[in-house]
Amino acid sequence: MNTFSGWIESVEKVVGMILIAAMTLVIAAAVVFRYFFHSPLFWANEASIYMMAWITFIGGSLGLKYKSQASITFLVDRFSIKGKRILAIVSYGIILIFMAILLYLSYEWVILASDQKSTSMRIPMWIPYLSVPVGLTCAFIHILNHFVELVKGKLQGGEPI
Amino acid sequence: MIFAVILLFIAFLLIGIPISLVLAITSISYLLMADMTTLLSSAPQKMFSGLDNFGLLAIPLFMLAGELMNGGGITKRLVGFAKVFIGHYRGGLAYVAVVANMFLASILGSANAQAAMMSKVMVPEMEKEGYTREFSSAITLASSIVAPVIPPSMLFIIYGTLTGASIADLFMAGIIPGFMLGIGFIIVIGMMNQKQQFPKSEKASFNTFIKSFTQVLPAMLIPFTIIFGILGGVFTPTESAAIACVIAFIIGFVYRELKLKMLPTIFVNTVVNTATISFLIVTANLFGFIIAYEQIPQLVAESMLSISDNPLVFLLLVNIFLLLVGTVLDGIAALIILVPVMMPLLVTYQIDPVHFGVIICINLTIGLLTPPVGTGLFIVSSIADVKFERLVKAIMPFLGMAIIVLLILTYWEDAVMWIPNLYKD
Repeated sequence: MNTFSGWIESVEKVVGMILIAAMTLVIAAAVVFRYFFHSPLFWANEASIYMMAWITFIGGSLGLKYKSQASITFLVDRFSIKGKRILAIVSYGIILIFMAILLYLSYEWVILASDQKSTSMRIPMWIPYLSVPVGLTCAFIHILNHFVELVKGKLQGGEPI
Repeated sequence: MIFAVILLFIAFLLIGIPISLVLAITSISYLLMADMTTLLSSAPQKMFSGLDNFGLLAIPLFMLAGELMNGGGITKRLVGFAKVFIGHYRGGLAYVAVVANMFLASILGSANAQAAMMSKVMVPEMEKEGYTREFSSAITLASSIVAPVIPPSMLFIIYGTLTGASIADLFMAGIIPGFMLGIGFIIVIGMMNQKQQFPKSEKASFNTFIKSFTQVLPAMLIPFTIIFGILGGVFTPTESAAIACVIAFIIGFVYRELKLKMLPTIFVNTVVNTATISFLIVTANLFGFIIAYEQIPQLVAESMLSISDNPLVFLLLVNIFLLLVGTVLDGIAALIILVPVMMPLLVTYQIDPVHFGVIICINLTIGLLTPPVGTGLFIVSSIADVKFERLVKAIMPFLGMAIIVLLILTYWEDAVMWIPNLYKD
């Protein structure tokens, strides 16, 4: 489980790196083309927004893996180590249930939208839409991994979720 | 039923589930409980559409520019530059902390990132010259709150995309308030200087002056490009951010501090840090739909109006409320959750959305300095190795000044709106 989550993490990192570099270049190129060559790149805005969607869902999944998403901790901090462990197990349980529901909904949504086309590039909409289920699937695996480690007692549970 | 959902929302937040997920979880449970199957199946669409905004792309781009500049060694050059022209006054380095923070604020847009970068450089330097570590950390942290006020600003970008207010106007509106905060902190240091004698550095020679000036000059291309590029209508804030990345990349190599092997880490950091904001926007967009469906903004508006129909009273109440919220909730999360609820009130009270944006962004940034959950306090106390309680005590005079400036800006609209109105005419 741990190695699987780690393997997904490295794939996500590589994809994220490529996307952020590509997005920056596309937007910078759009300025140059419009301002210096007077021929705007008609697809630049749409392409970069779709890259942003992928960055958001992949990065969101990585953020859950690294536990770097903002949460309220002032109450949890007052609990004992054991209390924190129980709270963390409960929280992960709740997250997993709802993520499973959301995953089901998002796969269904992508399949239904599979014949739509985007407005300016005319690419199939499942390309940007797929970011939602893919990102959530990765996040599900990372959270499940944290949950399993916590139940097995490998993680102390004193740290934030 | 909405009552049950609100209880769930608070319970999930308190047991430590990340705010972004709490927003999604409560929305889904609401839709399940209300048995709204059509809306339930459009939940992913609602989430996705939260990202359909070109303005939002400025967030990763400004973050990337900041990471590149950080790798490019900008902080110590800015501190060095500020030092040669004000370091030799009594309390010089304390003033340097404020001025260098203001320079850095014109490149970075996040107070947390800036506090982390500045305290690494500034606190050891001040300690070496005889300042206490608490005071050095406090002044560095306090003045880092100008980061999201002086353009570029993450908070203004988020506020702009949430409300439709012009991000360019918000950027311009932040310039004077940013300077007022800086001047406010300088006044506090000056007053402390009367009571206790702060150290001073040696006066720099003319050659050092020229040298540090030429070192800083390339970095100052970035704020210059952002401000004049937007003012001149050459590009949008998002495009200015992409250009800033390109400049930062080149400067990093000119300074010989940015190495190609650093790029993967920089890119991954940018992706993860971006998503902590944009993922929150995604789930908040779903949550906002529930809020609107239950007509919460109308309820809030009615109860506000029953208290007072005076906009000045309204703004005071909003300020007090947000300062309290800011003590327990992360500023960006608070902004994303609360702004959609508050927007309808602006029409009722006839308040300019840009003016309002500046007020609430400064207000929520002040939350970084307030215990128990001021993230800025945690960052600086761990980097500079100061006891949390001591840092809280040392920050108090600066916190007081920040709140005074906030109140002045709340009631002196012209100070905020002067520059945006200027370039429109």
